[in-house]
Amino acid sequence: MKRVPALITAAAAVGMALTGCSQLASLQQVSGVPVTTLTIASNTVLVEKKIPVKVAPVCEENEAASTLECKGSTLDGKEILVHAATPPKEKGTLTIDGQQTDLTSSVVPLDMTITIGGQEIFKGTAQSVIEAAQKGS
Amino acid sequence: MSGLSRRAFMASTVSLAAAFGLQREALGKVLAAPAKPADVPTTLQQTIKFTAPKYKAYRTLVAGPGEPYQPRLDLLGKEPASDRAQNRRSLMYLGHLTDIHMIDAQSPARLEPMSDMSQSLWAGVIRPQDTLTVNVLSSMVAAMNAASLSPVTGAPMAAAVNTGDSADETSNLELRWYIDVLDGGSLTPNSGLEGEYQGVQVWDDTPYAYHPEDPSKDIFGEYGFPTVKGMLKAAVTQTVVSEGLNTPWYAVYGNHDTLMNGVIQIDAGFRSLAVGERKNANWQTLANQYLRGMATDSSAFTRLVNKVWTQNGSGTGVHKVTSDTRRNLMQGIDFIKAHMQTKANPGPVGHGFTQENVDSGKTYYSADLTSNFRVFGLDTCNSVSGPDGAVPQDQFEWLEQGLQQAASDKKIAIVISHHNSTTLENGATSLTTNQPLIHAEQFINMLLQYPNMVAWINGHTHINTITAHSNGKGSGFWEITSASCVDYPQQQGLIEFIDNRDGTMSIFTTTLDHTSPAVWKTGDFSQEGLASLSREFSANDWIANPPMRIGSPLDRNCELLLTAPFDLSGITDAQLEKEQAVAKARQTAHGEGKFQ
Repeated sequence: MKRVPALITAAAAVGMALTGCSQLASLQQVSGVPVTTLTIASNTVLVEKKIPVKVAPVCEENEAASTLECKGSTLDGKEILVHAATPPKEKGTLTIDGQQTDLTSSVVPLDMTITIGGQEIFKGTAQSVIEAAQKGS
Repeated sequence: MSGLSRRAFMASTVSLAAAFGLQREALGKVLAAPAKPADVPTTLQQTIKFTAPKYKAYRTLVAGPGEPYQPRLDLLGKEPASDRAQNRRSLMYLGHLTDIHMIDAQSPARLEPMSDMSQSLWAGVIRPQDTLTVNVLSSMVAAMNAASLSPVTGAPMAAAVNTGDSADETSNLELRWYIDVLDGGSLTPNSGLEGEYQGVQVWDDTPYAYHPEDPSKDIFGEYGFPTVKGMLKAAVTQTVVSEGLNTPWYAVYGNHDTLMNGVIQIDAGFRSLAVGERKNANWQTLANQYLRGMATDSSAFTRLVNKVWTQNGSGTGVHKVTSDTRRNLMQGIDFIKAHMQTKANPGPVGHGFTQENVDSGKTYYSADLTSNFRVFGLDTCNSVSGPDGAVPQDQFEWLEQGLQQAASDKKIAIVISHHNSTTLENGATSLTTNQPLIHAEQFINMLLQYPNMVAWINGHTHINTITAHSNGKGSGFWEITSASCVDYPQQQGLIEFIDNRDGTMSIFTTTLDHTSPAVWKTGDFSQEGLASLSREFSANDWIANPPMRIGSPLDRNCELLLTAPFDLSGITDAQLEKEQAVAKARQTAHGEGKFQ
């Protein structure tokens, strides 16, 4: 009867002992990284809207402001700005096709806004953009 | 620049026919055919999309429209000449394989039960399509061969690069399977008991695994994965035939070729587990086994304990399976040695590694892919711990010297590695070595010093991604990251380097689906059918966020522009034609079965 708790403790120690606490998080796949999600969604919107891109938006997380920001430019010299709030760490929800649904930890909804030369061209969730782009007929 | 003279063309045809055992006249016709964009099956013609409209529900797949090239001007910073398509010439056409993740799904050393501890933390230790990786790779080889003439210029593929994670769990059997599939031939992707699958996908105490015979009690069934009776049997009993790549290919290490599941060191306990007859079904027993392994030494007592455990297990959550010594885990330079055991054609023997690597233990190399392109194959893997990588100081210095030499030799340089610029921050070091690690910023800044360094080709993240690295002076290099063969979209890449003859270069990237049908027909357990089913399963592996992994249109079919690294007019058309003739002759010989 003593075996189970001992083993659980042992398992918890595996990652920490081998990779260090800070490395334990790095076991997690990168697909949930918000910066990647935002970059893909931003570029998808720009291509769908046929924006002539000179420099594709480069996204960074601003931890102090709890935001994600991307900057790029169009061929005619206008600035492309993408803004999103850092997603909550806990599991969130997402509305797709009118249905609110739970998210797995690898999916981040990311409410995003894209402006070009100060004019808003898109507002919505990054994951919805990604889902819609893969939808066939 | 003029191309080959008639006399030179005839001489080339005669010598190539003799070298590859081909009929001179037939080869002459192949070589004389005018170069034009090849009508080959790629995502330019057809893509694959999801059918079901609802998020988080099982979705089948359907063929979608082709996707045109998107120009990327991030480095050039201006619109390119509109007539560049009329003047351009191919410098080199390359295939890109990465993250093949060949899986021996029945190995006792797999970490599948850890997904029961945390699905997201241990993502990738188990997938519904684990038994089908040989089928997928064989279909990918067929796709690469079918596209071995460029869709942009018609130039023949000069080489392919494989940027790591070829095996999944550092298994020598997985390593052998991947090399054999790329070499061509037939194999039955089974280990242990002949004719029957043994593992977590059929056991009752593994609800974290997909049970195709009856998924009603597992989490995949709850999600909507279908009942597919007979799939596992077909997967482990059917012989898979691979035509083999028809072009020379070059490989580098990935973290899954270095560490268990790409993250933790392999110890004696894991080594005995891999070839034993006990397989864990729950993570508590697996973790216990690993901790025992950490304490392992070579004493007689430890060996006795290992023997007893291997023979008897520890009770709960352990199943008896048929042992197989072929499942032994890699150690030392097994990875390099395995690449020396390969077919000489299309070769090269070692696939970039040479006897010097075997002798020295050095895990990186450089090679000339053509007379104008030099590749630097890096080992960015951390052998201590963690999935991500870094560049050890000695390798960094070797690379910089190599880039200097390539510049003075007027060679265009490309770097291939497993890790990419977002995953080069692993700082884990061994207490017994004192090799500083170089991370992304310093590495990129060094590469930017060399205008002849035009592309960094890599993988690791299983996401199609293209990143511009600018030197701030109108140039820089492109980083091209292809997806994987195991997670959705199961795509690889085609990369062509083109001289626009106006002081600019274009690098065309084209994503490639494997040849299996977009739509899986119920009950189709043929070789291609199983590959198609694997893609469908991967599209529903919700933990991996499948639709995101295909990237954006700016990460797939693109024309990446940059300033030419030097005056390319010094490269003559005749020189290019001569090398392309060799590649075409090789492809013809492969098609005629001369390399069997």
